[in-house]
Amino acid sequence: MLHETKKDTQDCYRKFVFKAAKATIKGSLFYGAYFLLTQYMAPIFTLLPTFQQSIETFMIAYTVLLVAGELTWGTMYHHFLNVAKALFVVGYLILSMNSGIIEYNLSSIRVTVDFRLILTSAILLSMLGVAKAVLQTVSYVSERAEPTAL
Amino acid sequence: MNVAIRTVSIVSALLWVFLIAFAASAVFSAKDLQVEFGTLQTSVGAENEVVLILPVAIVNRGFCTISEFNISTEIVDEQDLTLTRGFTLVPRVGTGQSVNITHQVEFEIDENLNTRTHLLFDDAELRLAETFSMKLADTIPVQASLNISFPWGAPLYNFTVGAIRISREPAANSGGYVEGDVQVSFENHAFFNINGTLYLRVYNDADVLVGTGQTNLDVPKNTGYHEDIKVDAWILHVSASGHYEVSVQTSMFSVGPLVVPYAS
Repeated sequence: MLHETKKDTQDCYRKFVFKAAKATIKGSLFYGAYFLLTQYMAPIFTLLPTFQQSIETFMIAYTVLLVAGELTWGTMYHHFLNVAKALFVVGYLILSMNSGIIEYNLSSIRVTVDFRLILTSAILLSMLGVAKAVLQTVSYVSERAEPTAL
Repeated sequence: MNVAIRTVSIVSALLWVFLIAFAASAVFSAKDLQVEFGTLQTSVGAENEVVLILPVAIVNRGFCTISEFNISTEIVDEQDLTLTRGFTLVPRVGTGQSVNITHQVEFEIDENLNTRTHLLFDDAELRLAETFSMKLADTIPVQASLNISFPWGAPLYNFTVGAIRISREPAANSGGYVEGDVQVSFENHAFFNINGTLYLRVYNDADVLVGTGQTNLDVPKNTGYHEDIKVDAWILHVSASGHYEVSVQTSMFSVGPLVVPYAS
């Protein structure tokens, strides 16, 4: 009995370490992709410093949700966090992109870029992400509710 | 359900990659787009209108096609009324292509001075609104706008007409007509010379025509004009106050009759 409890505790630790490692790898890969993208987008960031700030805020919030989601993998919270992550992307796109029209001043020249079509596509894709997260939650709940044969 | 979820995941990931790659390549195409402007030239057209000519060279070295490239120019006065506008449209500039165009805007001096007489007598600050718009990859509209203020010099700045001066009594056989002088002065602040004729009709306080006079004008830009115009006036109708009807006909514009009151 004592041996079984010790084995369960070891399994529990092993699972947590595995989840933590997975979360770290995912978070690092995600941040690495962002880092590469920032190098590529450096000229744009110099023109639009507020855009860089906004993307950094998004990256921090998304990475926290991603890591938290991985750490709670296999539980109901994982699915809640997945839905929250997808909804956060939708909310971020709507609120931060200023209706898809970006304006900035280059000395006396005012430049306006209309990203509405791209933004609409991104919001639709984010809604697909929400739908996927909801489907995963429904699937998880239904699997848990399935009657087990005695 | 797992199959459906997996399918949604794969499709969603592919569409995200496509969307980000498309947006990034379109934005970076704009970086490789060169728009070069030549020296702004002015010329006078067949109907004495001023034509502003701006040569533009567009070189597209990006990955995406540029469509609906439009250059628009609008000149507005201090009351935000449009004096003139013009646009030039280039339907398409493909990748690796270069296009040379000439953007032209016509400014009708005669029409504008007749409809906005304050530009005839008062210096003003005009605003030139320049707008460049295009579509990157047929989907992302980009617009750049620029406002430039420039001074407008009135051709008849500080235009004044003095009261009629009768210097001597009428001669016996003149039929009551005498020679009078009317002093006319103004400053030509315009960017063009004034060459033409000034016509003057003198009316008394009972609106009866007293006399007429005319003089040739040859006033270079940024110079003043102070001359006495000879008027043949009917002595019986001359009064201490009244009004003039002034008409100015030049090679660049024709205005009048402008009503100018006088009182001695």
